[in-house]
Amino acid sequence: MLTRLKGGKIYDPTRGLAGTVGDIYMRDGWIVAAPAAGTRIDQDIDVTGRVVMAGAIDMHTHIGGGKVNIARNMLPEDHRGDPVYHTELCRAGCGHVAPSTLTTGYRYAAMGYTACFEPAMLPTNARQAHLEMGDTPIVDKGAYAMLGSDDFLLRMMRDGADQQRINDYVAWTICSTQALGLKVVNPGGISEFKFNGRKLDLDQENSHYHVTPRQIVHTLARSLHELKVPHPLHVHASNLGVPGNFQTTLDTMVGAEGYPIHLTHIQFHSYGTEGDRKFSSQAALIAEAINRQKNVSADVGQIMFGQTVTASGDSMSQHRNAAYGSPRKSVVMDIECDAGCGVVPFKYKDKNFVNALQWAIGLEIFLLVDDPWRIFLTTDHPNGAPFTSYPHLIRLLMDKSFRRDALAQIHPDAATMSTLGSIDREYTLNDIAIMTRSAPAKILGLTDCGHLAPGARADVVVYREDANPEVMFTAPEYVFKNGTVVARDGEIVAVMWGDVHAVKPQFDRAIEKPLADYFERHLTQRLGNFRISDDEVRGLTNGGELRVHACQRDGSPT
Amino acid sequence: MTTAPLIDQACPFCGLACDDLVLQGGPDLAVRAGGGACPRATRLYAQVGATLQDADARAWIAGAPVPVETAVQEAARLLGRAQAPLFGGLSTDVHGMRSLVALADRCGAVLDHMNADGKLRNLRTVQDAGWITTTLSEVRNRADVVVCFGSDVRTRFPRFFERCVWVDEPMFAPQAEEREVIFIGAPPGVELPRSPAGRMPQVIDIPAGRLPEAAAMLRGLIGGSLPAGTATDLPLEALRAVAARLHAARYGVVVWVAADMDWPHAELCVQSLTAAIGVLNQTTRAAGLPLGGSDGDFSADAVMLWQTGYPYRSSLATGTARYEPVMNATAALLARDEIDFMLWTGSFDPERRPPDPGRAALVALTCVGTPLLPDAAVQIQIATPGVDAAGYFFRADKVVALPLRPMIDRQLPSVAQLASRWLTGLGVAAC
Ligand code: SF4
Ligand SMILES: [Zn+2]
Repeated sequence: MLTRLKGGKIYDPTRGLAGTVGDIYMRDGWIVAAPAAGTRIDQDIDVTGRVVMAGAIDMHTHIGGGKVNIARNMLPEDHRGDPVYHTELCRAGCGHVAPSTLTTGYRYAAMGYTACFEPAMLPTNARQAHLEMGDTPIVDKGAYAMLGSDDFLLRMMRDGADQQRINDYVAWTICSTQALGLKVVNPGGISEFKFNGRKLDLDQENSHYHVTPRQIVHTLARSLHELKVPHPLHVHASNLGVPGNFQTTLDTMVGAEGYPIHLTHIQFHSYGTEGDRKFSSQAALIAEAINRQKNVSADVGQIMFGQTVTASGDSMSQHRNAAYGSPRKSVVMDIECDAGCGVVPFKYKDKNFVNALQWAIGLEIFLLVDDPWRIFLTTDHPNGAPFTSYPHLIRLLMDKSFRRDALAQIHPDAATMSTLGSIDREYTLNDIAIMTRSAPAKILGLTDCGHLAPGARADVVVYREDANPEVMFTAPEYVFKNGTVVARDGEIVAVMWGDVHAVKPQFDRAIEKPLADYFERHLTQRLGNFRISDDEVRGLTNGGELRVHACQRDGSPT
Repeated sequence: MTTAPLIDQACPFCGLACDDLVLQGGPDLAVRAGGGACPRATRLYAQVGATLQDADARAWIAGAPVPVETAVQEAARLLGRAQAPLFGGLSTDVHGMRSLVALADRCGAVLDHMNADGKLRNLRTVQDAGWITTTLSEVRNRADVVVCFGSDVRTRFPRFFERCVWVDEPMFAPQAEEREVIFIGAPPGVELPRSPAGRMPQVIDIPAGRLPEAAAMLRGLIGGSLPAGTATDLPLEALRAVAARLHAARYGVVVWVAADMDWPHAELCVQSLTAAIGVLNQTTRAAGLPLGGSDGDFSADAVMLWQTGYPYRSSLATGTARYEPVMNATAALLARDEIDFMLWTGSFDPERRPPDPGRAALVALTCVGTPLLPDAAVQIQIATPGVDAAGYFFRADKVVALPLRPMIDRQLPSVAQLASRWLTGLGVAAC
């Protein structure tokens, strides 16, 4: 079937289109070139005056895996306020801070998102993450496997294993867990916490293995570069949330020594210690460092005021943060000589000085980083806020008077300490299209999403332009997934199952020999049961495909 | 399917899901001698994995053998006219549970697991204050002190000590013989496990019914202040020594089995333990290990949580999920005569049988080895995940989900197959 979207204003930054009026053609789930004159158009939709973009991509959202289920378990009181009723098409569930997987898929799709990436898949919990992502409808999925506090890597590094062997292990982990990328969380720190350490600075040695976070970040960033995995190392840096941690963040950027790295939820890592309360914004320094170092990208992890839940692999930080939880409860776990996790509900309040400044810091970073191709729109769902707050966040970025009004509402001392009021920049629709479509596709190595050129998946969103971007981005007029209309005006009209995205870096199978031995001697499951095969992951997608992306990276470290 | 020995198959017969067994396939499924299994696994593989002859009945209506298809249709008819259905038992794997939740969503059923009472003791603690816990491999490699509270552990988790405590080469903890194992209030008369060299664990006896006080006392001792009015007839000095030992430990682990804490408000006892662990973590490391997962309870729970957002004991009767853990207990629903239909699933243990259904029509999906149930309107023998069905099983620590592979073929339907048949009968496609 050939479908034409006629006469829309196309924002496709991948091809340099910023509001260019034109037609989009879709056939059998893919974008195709304009057909020869006279070809029969089966479905012709007039979108004159509408804004047309590719489906949005959330490159960092905690949608599946053990810690999300822990959050669900802990917070029935939050879910009660947002019941989701089944319809002819859709399953029942619930929403708000840790929605059911079904609701997650429907709501993302209704908002114009067609791909979501789980950023913290513990290798030992990978099967659960894929099971949950498999039950998340409509959107495409993928995940970054987490290493960096796992005993196998730390043993290798302690024993001076050469980079090639480490690359084999990294590639084996990515392949065995069906991951699209690799993340490191509080490098070495989750392990350190198991040895009763409460802090691990960038150049502090893990007390058991005597390797430092700096070495771990460098080793893993280099590994991905040499394996040509498109997505750079996804780094949740040391000292999350600690006042004064901006220096660690700056040092981590430098520590990558030119290898590409992506710093995640950087808002939580941009804190100074100035002022009476010893808590201040260092967003300007951080933004300036990103502007200068082209090997660095970041997502923001914007906070929004209200109830949410923080779910992180960083057990060390979450144990510390548990004291600030609201409601006051927390789950912290040490996990399988592999990683850890911590889940702490939070209520961010605009009249709370720290929360208010966190909010301002996130926005400062958005507005002070010049290049929208290297800064990504996230709330670190649900850590900063549930993903459903994105339209509001987009308005804050696009509308400076709205932003100033919001700034006037927050704790006055925080407002005073922030430079936000003096920043005039307003994001354009094209900027938004870059940071939610083209740039995530580029940084993840997805050549067939995030743009509207022939050969892309027909994931297309049609918006009614509105003076209020929050209205515009909440309920697009049409959302197409694989060429099918799945949502109209915020309502799900068809349910389908998205694909799983993965990469398969090459490695020497000989690494499985020491690994199998390690599993048998030290762990409580066998290597053969840990590994997830291609067929297995296909069996979890409810009919979606496994899309394997090429491992290629250009150039040498900058 | 095969007569060659099968290796690396996860055992689904308790929450430990040991995957180091050596099994012998077809026609009977059996644990090969010396293949790592415990007596429970040996017995259950033999019972649940027994051969069926072609002539053996696989389904019954009101106690009379019928072809499976006839039973499936009768069950569909009963479900179709049900006004207030309950899906109980829920002893199945991830795939089975996914299909049951999908079916429950369509027909407005309540979902409750056979082990929910035990689970609730822990859940109330998590929902009230949270906790710090650990997983099997961490215990294996790190625990220098293991305190087992209110349980001998081994009855329900036969290979726990073998696999997680008395191991040859822990990466960080002392060697097996140096590890300290302390039992507080183990059930009387149960033989407690000895170390490989025959060393007895330390045992602190607590009189029957006094475990909650002992837990509160331990919590007080660890926190440095005993609650006022502390009983004087409990072994205070021995508990004081345990508190000191846990403070001095590098990685103390407190194990409890909620299924064994069968008294009213046992969650308060769990809370005493988790609060004590919280205090220990201010200065050293310690973690709880609330063992569960047997009868697929963590598998069912995980699916409930991700598909509906709530634990089991939730109802889908109003078109959305409502979590009411007291109201939706099977026994309470039956006592109030509030259900007219019960679909009961028991995949792993022939000893676990449905309760008296009262006036509700009972459709029982039972594993091989389960006797004919006199109360069942329909009874269908089902394939067991890890024996003759594929599936996934969440282990005792809720982190590791192991694949369960079919090893023999007895032409029995899986829960997922049956549920999707019924779902199709209701005119909708599966999730
Ligand atoms: S301990 Fe449990 S999982 Fe292990 S073999 Fe025995 S019954 Fe099976
Ligand atoms: Zn995150």
